Amino acid sequence: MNANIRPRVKQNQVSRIKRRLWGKAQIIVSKGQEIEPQDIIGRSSVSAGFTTINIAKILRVEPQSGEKYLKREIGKIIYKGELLAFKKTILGQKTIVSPTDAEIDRYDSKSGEVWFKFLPKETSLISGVYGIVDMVDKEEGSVTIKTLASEIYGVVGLGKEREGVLEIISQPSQLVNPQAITQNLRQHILVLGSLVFDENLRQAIDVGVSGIIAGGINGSDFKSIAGSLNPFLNTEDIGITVLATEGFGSLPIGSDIYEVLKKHNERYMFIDGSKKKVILPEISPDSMMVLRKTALPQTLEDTEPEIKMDTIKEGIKVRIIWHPYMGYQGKVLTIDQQPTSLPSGISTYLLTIETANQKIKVPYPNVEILG
Amino acid sequence: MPKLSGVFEELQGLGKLVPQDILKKVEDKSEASSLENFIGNRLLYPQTVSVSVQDQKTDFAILKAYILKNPNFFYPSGGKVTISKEFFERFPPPVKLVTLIVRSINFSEQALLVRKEESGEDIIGTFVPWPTQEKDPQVFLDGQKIQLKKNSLSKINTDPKQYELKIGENFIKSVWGGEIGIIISKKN
Repeated sequence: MNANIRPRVKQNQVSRIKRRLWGKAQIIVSKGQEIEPQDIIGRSSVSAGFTTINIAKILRVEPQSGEKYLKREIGKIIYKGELLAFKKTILGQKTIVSPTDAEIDRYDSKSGEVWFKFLPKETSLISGVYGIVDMVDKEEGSVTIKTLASEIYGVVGLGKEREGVLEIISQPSQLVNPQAITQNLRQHILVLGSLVFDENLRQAIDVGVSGIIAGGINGSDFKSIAGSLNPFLNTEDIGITVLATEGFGSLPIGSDIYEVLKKHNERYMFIDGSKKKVILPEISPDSMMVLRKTALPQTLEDTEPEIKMDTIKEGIKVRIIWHPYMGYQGKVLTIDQQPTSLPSGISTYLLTIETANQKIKVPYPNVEILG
Repeated sequence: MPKLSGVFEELQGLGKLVPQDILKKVEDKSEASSLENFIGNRLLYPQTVSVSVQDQKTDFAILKAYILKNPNFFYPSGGKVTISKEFFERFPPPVKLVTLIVRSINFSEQALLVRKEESGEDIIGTFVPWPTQEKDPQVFLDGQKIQLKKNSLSKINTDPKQYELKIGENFIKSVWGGEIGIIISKKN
């Protein structure tokens, strides 16, 4: 009598994490360098984009003649409040000031608009982890760091790799009200209980949350993003990363995963929906001793861990993957030697499983072994 | 060891079914949502079995919707409906599964019903779509008169051997009996 073993939690793993800089990047660490969480590993300057003002409309001139009223040349820097354009009229004068600090990018003589490119902002990227620099990619602006971490694998994921501080805002089986997702949770990764649904997903995107971990996601919400219910398809990014640890629908986060998340609450972490994975770095200087001794294989592309099959034995821990009791975890006490006819008409062998609160009987195909 | 799987993993494109394909009337949004969660979890955990009567009803409804969109799944070429042992175990009783399959496929000719096991294939019966325009023709099986249900499927229990089936004046064909028997459809 066999069941699948699906890797869900791997503790104290030597993992690779990639830290990226956006815009023009300058990496200041090198391969083999040992780094600590507060170390700056690179700097970058990023322009936040463009804005426009239609000076021709404001000055009431034809678009093709608007440029002559500009008081600052194209390509020059202008600061908020400085004079941008000026026109004398019979009744007086009309002035336009710059709305922001920017570079005057161009004048569009068809529309009469002035285009402003926001001045780039300098940002520093800190390591966030204890680790050893494994690889530097100056073209991509990324640093790959070998670090000691716990890894958690879910079953349904959406979105690209993101990072942030972990914030547990509910118990594993609670439903979270969208109002609980407040502005101060921007750029955090939230643990949202048993279900991430359309309203709290929208609220999280509005607030700027980086990622969500929950027991389940509604199939209809997943399908509206992924185009199909197939949980094995790669999907486009929607501005947030989501990981469901148990399946579709409202399902409590398994205690094996929740206990690890609790240990890392309010610490920096990484989430990747496409790999259905969460990396929780260990924040301990002692981890460096392990890292110095451990070499990782050259290949950087990590794949989802393989699901294998094993024999069900008395005493092993299992999780229940179909109703009733879907999401429960417990220990196998006994394995029936004779098949039982279920109400559905299917004949199969039952397991007696001891959970936290009760003993239950479950068909053996409806469990996975906890690895 | 490679992972344990189940029959739902064989149903390619299952994730594309919509609730309306499965339930005749999905008025309640929460019912449609539950159904999509059900299908999604079947894709994630194809090896699982239904415990409750309701879950098994849903599984049959999903299978029917799938066959309607993919009739070649059990009937890849003319002449034979092939059903694996795993499908029989997952969707008992056998007669219910076979009836669902034959009702969901548009047959133009009679078809052998076959159970596929690791050791080979066993003939378990024959499906005969109604072959004549005659009103109330007489039906004989190996010379014995048979009474059929009106406008429906009729199942004749038989031994696992060949028979001669005669319907009306012009239809005389050799058919196989077996565990399921001979199923004649009187639907026009």
